[in-house]
Amino acid sequence: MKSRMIIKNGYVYDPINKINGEKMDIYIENGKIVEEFTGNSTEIINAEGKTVMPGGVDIHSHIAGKLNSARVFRPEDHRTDPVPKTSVTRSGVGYSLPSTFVTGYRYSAMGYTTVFEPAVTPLEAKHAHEELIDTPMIDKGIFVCVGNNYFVLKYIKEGEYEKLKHFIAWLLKTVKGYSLKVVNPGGQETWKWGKNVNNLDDKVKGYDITPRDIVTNLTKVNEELNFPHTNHVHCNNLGSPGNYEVTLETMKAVEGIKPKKGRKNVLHIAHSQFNSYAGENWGNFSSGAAEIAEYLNKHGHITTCIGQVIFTNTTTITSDGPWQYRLYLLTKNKWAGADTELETSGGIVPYIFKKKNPVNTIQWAIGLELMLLTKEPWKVFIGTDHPNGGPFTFYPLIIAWLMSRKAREEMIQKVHKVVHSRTQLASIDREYSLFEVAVCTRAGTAKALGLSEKGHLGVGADADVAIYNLNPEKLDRGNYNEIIKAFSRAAYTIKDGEVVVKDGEVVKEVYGKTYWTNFQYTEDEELREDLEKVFRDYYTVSLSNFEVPLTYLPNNKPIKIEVK
Amino acid sequence: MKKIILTLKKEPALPIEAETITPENFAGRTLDEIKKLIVWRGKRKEELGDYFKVEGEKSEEVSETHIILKGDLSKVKYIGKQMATGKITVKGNAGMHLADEMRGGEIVVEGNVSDWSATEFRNGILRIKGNVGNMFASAYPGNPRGMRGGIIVIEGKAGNSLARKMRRGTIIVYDSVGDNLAAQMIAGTVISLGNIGNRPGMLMKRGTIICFGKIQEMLPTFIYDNTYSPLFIRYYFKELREKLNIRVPVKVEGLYERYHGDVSELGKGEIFIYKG
Repeated sequence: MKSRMIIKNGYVYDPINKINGEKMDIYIENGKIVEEFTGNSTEIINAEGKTVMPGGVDIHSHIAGKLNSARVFRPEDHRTDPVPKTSVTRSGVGYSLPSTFVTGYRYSAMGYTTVFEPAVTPLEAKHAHEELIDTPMIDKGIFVCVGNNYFVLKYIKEGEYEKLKHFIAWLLKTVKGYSLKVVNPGGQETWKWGKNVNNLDDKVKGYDITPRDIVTNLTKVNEELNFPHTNHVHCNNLGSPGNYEVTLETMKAVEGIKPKKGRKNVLHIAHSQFNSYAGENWGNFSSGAAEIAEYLNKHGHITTCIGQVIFTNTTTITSDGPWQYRLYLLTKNKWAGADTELETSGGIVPYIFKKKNPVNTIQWAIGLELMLLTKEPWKVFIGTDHPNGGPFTFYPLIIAWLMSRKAREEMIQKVHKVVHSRTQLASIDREYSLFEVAVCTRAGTAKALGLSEKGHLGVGADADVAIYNLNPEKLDRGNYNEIIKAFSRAAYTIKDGEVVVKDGEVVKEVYGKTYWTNFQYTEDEELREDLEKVFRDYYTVSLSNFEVPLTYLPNNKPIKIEVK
Repeated sequence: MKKIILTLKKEPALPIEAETITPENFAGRTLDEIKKLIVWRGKRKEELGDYFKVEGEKSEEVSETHIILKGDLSKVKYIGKQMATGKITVKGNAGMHLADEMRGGEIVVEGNVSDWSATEFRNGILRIKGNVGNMFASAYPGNPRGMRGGIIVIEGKAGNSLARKMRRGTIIVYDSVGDNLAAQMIAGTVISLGNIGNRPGMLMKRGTIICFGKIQEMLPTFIYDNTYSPLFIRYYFKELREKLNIRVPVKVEGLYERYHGDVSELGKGEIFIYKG
């Protein structure tokens, strides 16, 4: 680990430092990027004719938490994809719900070094951290679901803003979370009565508040508490025709909120593909991506990841209980539902995205439209909302669709013909450059997550580097299989200054850090009394057992934040 | 057909996974190459030649390949996995997972067959002269569909959970059938000439079960319709006899009690019980 390394003569793409394919050397010492050193280096990597990028950063991928229930639920998913052990790696299973070790290996093989789990119920945080302990190769962190938490709803209803702030700081510190996640604000609470909320101004059952109040209050809290990442929202009405209007409303609702010092954005819309649908019903379902992209182009306060659909057999897992129930009614597939005490709900339904299905075809097109119609790649990131849109192992295919018009056209030939009449994908000429790909897979996501030492190769950054077998000077976009191959199997992945993947094979197993936000505050007496009372009366665990101790995060990296 | 004869040298101490025994793998290979095919003993790779004496003649065409297995193969698993054409004859017992996901061709077993065989059977003909174990012609855990086509004739008894989640195809059992026959059946036909155990057709949506013996316990979610002589049963057996040369030793003319169910599901399934 304490070695010195030089990566020589690669074409470097480092968008944060505005380096666009320059041929240069990267110096690594003690797991960090340094300006230069003299004397001998223990390792020289010849990257002649190869593309060098910072290690990939995934902002939204379900890799821990609810996953275990889904793994138990889908034995048929594992049977088709066994992964034998090697002299370095452990055995496991793959496909849409890979085992923890295989998750780490497969991410690393694609050149990814940091992944965030975006939806953890506070009560399940211990379990999520246990899974992350066993997820090798990557740095990680969890987002904590708060959008339907009893305390959050109660304090918003009572107008106790300061208490809400205190509660969020306490919660995140207690469960060792990194950021806030809001899933179907108010909808899951209403689902306890078998109903849902359909737009931002519906009343949340049992509380005299609206989803708008939840989103704006939590976004404000997020900015005032100086969270590294913005509020991460899964909007209301996900998966329903015509829901792009709710998404626009949500984005407009937070327009006036002042961002924390040093950034412009205040909200991240998760997997926006599932929330960019126009039309009134499944019969006239069409793409609303253009409206969302237009809004993103005009405003600077939103980032989003696409949640691209891949035509494959996958598993949908979300905390959005009412939506999962609707999906079950639509597909008649098996369904698991959950209601987690005072916190969230959840559901699991296997789903097959089919090329000849008009709705699936439009969903596929919407994801790519969002990427291609949004001018700045700093606002919209690659993702499949793994495993909801498809397994993360398909990211290289998405990159190929973005970089090569021919790849898209060949796919358009295979899908349902509604792709021409109800989306505008076929008429888009844009092709992503490697610089833009580097933005939407690492630099942009790292910046949105507020990770200053990730996503770039400047001095002081973590030595997480991905080297791909792709020569930018001989790049042939027509031959897109080369692009898929290059991004699927990194020539080298370097994690904290060590080569961990060579030619797409894991050569060393390492364990990354877990990020969490460590708030420093003076305790609020009233909040403590509230917590004690509610935990005593309604929770199945006691308050003292609720905390995730640091033994659950053997290799952790706290981000200290002072709260006044 | 070109015959390739494999004789078991001695019974393996541990079960071996011999998914390489298929006409697809044998066609175009010399006998020495066949001996080198891989079998798994636990996590260890071994060769087919370690367990079998291989004789016969080389076959070029897959459809012209006839594999004959001799000896007690009850510890040899996955014979004929995913085979699509050709023929396998087992002169003796066969182990678990025989004809796993079979897509076509023919397998004849002269002895008994162990559990989990013919799982997710897709097409082809499977004839078993002896008895079969549990979970025969069923679905692997989690999969929505089990047997999806083809014809299976069992001349002995069948165990529990036969034809679980069956989607299409025909199964004929000459002797008795265990409990939970055709649970969660989607469609297809199961005929039993002997008795049937508890709860046949549990949660079935569509499909037909014909019983020439007694049913030990019927579920309350099956509703009695009437007693009559359905024409289609006679046609069904005629078709089997004339087109596929399957002569079922039973008198089919007569009256049948008809039940429909399972009404806690779609309720379009039917059970016929022969009354003479």
